Amino acid sequence: MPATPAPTRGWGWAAHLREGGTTPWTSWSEPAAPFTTAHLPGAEMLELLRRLNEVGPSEPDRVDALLRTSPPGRGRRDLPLLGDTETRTYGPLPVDPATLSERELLRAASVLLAEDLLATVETPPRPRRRWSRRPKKSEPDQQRFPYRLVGSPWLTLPIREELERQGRLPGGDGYTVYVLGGPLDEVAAGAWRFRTFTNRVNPWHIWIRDAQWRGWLGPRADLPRIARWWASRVGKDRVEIVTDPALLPGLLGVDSVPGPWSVSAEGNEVARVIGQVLSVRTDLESQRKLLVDRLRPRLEKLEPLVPDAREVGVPPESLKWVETQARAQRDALVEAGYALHGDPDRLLPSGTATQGPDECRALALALSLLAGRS
Amino acid sequence: METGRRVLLHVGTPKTGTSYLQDVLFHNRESLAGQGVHYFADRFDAHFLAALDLMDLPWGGIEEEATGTWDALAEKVRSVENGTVIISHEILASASWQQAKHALDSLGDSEIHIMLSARDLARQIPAEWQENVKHRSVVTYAEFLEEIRDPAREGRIGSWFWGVQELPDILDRWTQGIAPERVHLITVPPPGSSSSLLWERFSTAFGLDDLTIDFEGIDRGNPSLGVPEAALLREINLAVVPVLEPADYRPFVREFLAHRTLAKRRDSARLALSPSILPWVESLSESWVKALSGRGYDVVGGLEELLVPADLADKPFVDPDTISPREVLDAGVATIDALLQEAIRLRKSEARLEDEVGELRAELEHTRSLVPKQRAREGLERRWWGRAVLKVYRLFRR
Repeated sequence: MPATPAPTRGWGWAAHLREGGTTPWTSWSEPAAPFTTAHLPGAEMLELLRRLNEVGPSEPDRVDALLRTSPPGRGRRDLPLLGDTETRTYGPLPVDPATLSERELLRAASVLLAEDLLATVETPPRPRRRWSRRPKKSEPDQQRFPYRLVGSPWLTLPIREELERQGRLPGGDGYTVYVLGGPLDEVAAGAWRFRTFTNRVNPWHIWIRDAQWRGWLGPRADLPRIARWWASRVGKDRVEIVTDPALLPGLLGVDSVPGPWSVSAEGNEVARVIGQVLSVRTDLESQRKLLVDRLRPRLEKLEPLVPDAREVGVPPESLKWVETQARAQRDALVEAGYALHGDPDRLLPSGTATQGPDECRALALALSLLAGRS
Repeated sequence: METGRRVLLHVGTPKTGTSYLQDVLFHNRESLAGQGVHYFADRFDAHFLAALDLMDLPWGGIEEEATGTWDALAEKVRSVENGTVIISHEILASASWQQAKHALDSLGDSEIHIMLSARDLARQIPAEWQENVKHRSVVTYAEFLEEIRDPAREGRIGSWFWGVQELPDILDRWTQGIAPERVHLITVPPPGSSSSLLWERFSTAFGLDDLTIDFEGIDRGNPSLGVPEAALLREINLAVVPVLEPADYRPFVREFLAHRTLAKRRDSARLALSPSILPWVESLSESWVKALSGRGYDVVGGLEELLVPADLADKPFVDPDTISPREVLDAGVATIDALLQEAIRLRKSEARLEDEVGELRAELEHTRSLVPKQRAREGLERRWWGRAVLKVYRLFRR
């Protein structure tokens, strides 16, 4: 008969958290016997559960599901608790869970958040849904204002979807291609933000650092390249650059156009870390659908409840480089002779935001999602 | 209650001849299955994908192909009633407690054996730096050593390195409830040993000794780089990593430049442990051997082989961070030579393909020209008078 494992303080704390407790590790002293045959969850999972309990109670099954996961991908994990009964002379160093970074806790939360999204899929993923949905009949306005709207998808996708919802399909006889631009720091941020919902992408500060290293912000933030591509397809006279989105309704023949999704920099970060897990758990199209159609509406509901949302901005150390890029883009577009709507200087960086996501707030959003507050 | 199914779960570690073992198993999988040993893999990296899936580990985009592969592999394992099943991938070493438990549970009522191949840290540390450089890293050797010495292991390099190399911890995570006699630690023989000795140990541990195995055409795999070659590759990374996608980096830089070109240069100095960290590594290795001895594992080889070789301190150390530009230049010239040869080969191949396309086009045109004639002939053959016309035509053609 196997010997009963000795009670430890770590298992005592885990049992306390499992019952909804919120006492920090350093204030806990009661030992208990293991409540499962599995190894004691790492400090990162236990601290995440403690923070979740602070948000509100969770169903016991859900708590056990959380404790059955471990932080995904690369990076340290299974961290022992500092001061617990640990006789090993190897392995990761024990930590005080209160000192763990929000980034580590967010990573710990990402598996259950991804599993929550996957659980919303009732049927196996269907073949890819195209971004553009085509109604059967074209509307009169489509003939009066035939268009294609291109540029950073973070800015253009919500507008295109709204137009299509109204039956205003892209294309039509002699359509004009509108290249929607804006301050390059915002367009660059938009390129990253779009990828957080649609692909696997590095954290913002690494993404912008790598872009600078590469000397290119990528295809979604390269307006001259986009304009050139369309000019080669339809002719330069049918490609027009829009630097002021306020002019778009007049050009498209609508009363107004929607802005980007109401998701903060932290919402993007949450989508990004969940996307890391989904990239292994499902195919890319299902990942996009889950993040865009399921997660985004939940995040949009949560955003107003968690204060101090940030916009994504280029950090000061990269701003000068982005400004150089922006001037080059502006000059290239002007020299190419495209029709311009708005001041070309609007393509220069606005500098309205200078930081990436606040990890503390990103964790708060993740905890709210885990707690089912949306 | 266990079935007659025995699962040998090989969970690491990297740089211990695992690729060779996996190649042998993959290329012989059909004949081995006939001998009662199953290696379920429809592609050479099938178990790598399964490991990515198990550990929720993205890997340069390839993870998309990994979805559901661990559970599919486990299902195949459970379908075996009698016989041996081998699962092998070195990155499994980094699985967490929970992931290892899930993996062990998923294998059902099998008799599970944990297999771990291990090599002394004096060779593993430089080898892991090289692996980093072969995987797009631009980290210097000194930076790498600093990262792995960070006791908090907060960086990507340190956490990964210890995850896949810290032998006692790996075995703790993977032997949950498994009897020590079913844990097999295979040590890599020291430098200078017979080149076949490692395979002999694998063969013994995995029970392959009496089986018929075809070794023809199997690459010994994953050769190491010399110091100037590794330094050059790091410089190349600095230039190309920002502009090369992983899907292009893999065949062109890692396979062609590193493995097929630079690794062939065998006369240059081999990378060794930096003397500055030798005492620390010696002490760490001793503590691991102490932790492992007395556990009752089946050791194939010897635990003492995991200690730092006694004569290491007397051997010269060439630092890749400060190596002379002349030596790196030599490696660079050899690389340019290889690239030119490759460009010439590709150009010839392109010309040959162009010729083939030209020939195929001509054949296609000819075939198209035959279609109306063929239709006319078929039409005529359906009618009595048509057949008569054809007969007359053929007589005249003669």
